[in-house]
Amino acid sequence: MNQVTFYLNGMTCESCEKLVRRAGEKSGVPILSVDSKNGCIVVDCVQEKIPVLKQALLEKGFSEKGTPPVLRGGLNGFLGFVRDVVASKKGAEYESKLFNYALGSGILFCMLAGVLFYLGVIPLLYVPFVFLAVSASVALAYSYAHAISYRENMSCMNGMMTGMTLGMIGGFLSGLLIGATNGMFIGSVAGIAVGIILGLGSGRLCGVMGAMEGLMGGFMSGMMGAMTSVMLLNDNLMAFLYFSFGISFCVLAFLSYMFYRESGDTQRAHQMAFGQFLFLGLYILAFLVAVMLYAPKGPLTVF
Amino acid sequence: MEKTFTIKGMHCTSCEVLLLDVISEITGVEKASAHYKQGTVSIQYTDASIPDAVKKAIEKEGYEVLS
Repeated sequence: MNQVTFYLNGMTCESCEKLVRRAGEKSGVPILSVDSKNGCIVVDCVQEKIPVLKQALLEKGFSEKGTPPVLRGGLNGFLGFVRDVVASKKGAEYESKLFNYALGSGILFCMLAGVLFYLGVIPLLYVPFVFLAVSASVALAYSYAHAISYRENMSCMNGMMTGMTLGMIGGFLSGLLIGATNGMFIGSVAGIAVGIILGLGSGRLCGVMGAMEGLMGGFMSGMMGAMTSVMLLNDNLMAFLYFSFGISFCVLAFLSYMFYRESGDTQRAHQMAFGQFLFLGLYILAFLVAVMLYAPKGPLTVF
Repeated sequence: MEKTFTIKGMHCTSCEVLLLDVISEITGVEKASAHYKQGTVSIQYTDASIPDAVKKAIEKEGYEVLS
């Protein structure tokens, strides 16, 4: 026995679901689930029985859809998703696990940073920037880990969206941060580097198109981040940093919701362990902090 | 013999198809038609026990038979 999922045209209500179930019973195919909202049905049968079932369904007026339907995601769905992740509800277990990983590694990174501040390796001047770097690296690690769990079945549109979002947010946050501490030049270079690596790494899952989006997103936003920081030096830069980091994290949460809605929970083949997650976050954090501390400073910085 | 039921709860073509499908399984029903807009199901039958069986079958699917 193997489970087969397909999509039907014309299912609109409970009666339709009943009809589909009856058609399944009559053709000897157990129907595991019917969802009239998106027209999706899951059956459990041998391959030879499927044409019989499809014929029976067609007689009742339900033809097969060639491609999965578009799932529309509203704001309500998003808030529900966030609730499910925080409360570790069924269907969002992996997202919830990653969320806990992110919290865990965030706490560990803060402790590590605390020790480095105490030992005097990092001057106390850098406290807000290191804090922002910790939150950025944890959030980016979460998104990257969530994206690559779909690496076997990322659709082209999803892959392009992923490459662009991760490239842009990664590049923007890094550019913004390093732009504030090291000036325009180093900020741009570091932002572009982080953006391109993240964008390329996640966008390549759907092939060259996604990789291309990742490259462009990383390149553009790295520069943009550093530019914004330097332009805002005399105009509430710190407030803007917190504000834009907050917005970026909301965007990343929405990206996570997009994966969840578009691909569902059945296809996440590659789940990450906590150790891997920790190192992923640590790479990003170490890079940002090292650049902040040891790269040359430009003429215009926050200090 | 003929009988027309008035039914509450039908709202689409699938409901019609579902009821016809259910009724067609009852032996002794010669002809059946359903109209969700009017909320009616009409049958032609041979045996006097049929209307009861049809009524039960309709109610089993979650519809209310008014008359």
